[in-house]
Amino acid sequence: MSDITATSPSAGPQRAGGSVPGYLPGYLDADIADYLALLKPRVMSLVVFTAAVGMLIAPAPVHPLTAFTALLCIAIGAGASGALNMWWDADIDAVMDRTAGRPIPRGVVSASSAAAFGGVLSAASVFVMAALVGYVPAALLAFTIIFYVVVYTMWLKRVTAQNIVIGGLAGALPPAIGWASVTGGLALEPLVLVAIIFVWTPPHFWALALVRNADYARAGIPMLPVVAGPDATRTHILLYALLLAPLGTAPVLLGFAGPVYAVAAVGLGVGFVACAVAVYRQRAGATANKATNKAAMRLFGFSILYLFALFACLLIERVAGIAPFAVWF
Amino acid sequence: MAEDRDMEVPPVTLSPEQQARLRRRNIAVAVALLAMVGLFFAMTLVRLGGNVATRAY
Repeated sequence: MSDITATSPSAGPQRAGGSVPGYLPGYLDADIADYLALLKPRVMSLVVFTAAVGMLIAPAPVHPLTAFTALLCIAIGAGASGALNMWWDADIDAVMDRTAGRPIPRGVVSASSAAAFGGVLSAASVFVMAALVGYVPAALLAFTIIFYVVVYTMWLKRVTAQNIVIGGLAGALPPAIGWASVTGGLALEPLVLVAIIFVWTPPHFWALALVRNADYARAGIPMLPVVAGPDATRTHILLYALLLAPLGTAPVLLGFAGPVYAVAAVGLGVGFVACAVAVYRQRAGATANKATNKAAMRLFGFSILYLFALFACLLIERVAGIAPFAVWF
Repeated sequence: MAEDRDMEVPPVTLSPEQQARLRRRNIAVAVALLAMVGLFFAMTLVRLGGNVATRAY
């Protein structure tokens, strides 16, 4: 009869006085929900949504099962990137309030289990995409995963304030993967959508970073508010908003979006700039207060609405059969 | 080193909750693998389509 019991929910099998050698802490305590949490489901849903829009605007028919398979691979690839991100950044997540509740800092999933989980899912998503959908989308998916995990997570995140500017490319690529899943190649249209998400990413994350400045500083992450200060960040946010608003109308000018999108792009662009101006006017230096946080969180919330609504308009126009402007003239 | 190598990992008695979690995880892995097999089968049918009937022997 063994004298070992395994009852701790957080530290794995326990012997009186310590964990059992040979067993990873947390390995036996993880539930399915903990592994699903590693996949960052909320990020995954936005990735799938933008990829689906990239698919729908592609000028070619696609079998529904092929479309489903492509979206599944993109979702799993994105989720696997999240798991690998949590594995590498477990030390950072543990000291930040926003991320301390993730499965690895809580001790319910071991870091090596998360790495294996993310690695297997990454390889599987790229393999299935290559085998069942196409080599170009598979290559783009592999590039996206490697860029997010290696370039952003392992390299840029801890060394430069431009981390999310450059790293944002990984989150911007799903529409291009969706398009490539249908056409087998790339074109200007998906790249414009990629550019919109790419320019949208920095003000979105900097708005959050303004509020979570102390969190990032404690974790030693060189986010722009930590390195350059909140006021410089507010200026950057405004500049990116002024760039994003006209860029958001590019699908109309290039002729692959219709009147619904045009109205939404102009209205939402004005709203985005207005929120950015409100943030910019809070020149409170490093002194965060209720008003500065409120303005930043309003921009953060609006930025999510902006991207979702913009892509939803493209989706609605395709589903409802509203012709893009290129057909009108 | 030699001591480490010779050290036996003692058997672990899982709590009922840990056993239930392990079982759920195993079932999830099995379902995922079966789903992948099904997906490959269905996608093969989609890609071959009517060409199955016209292939040369």
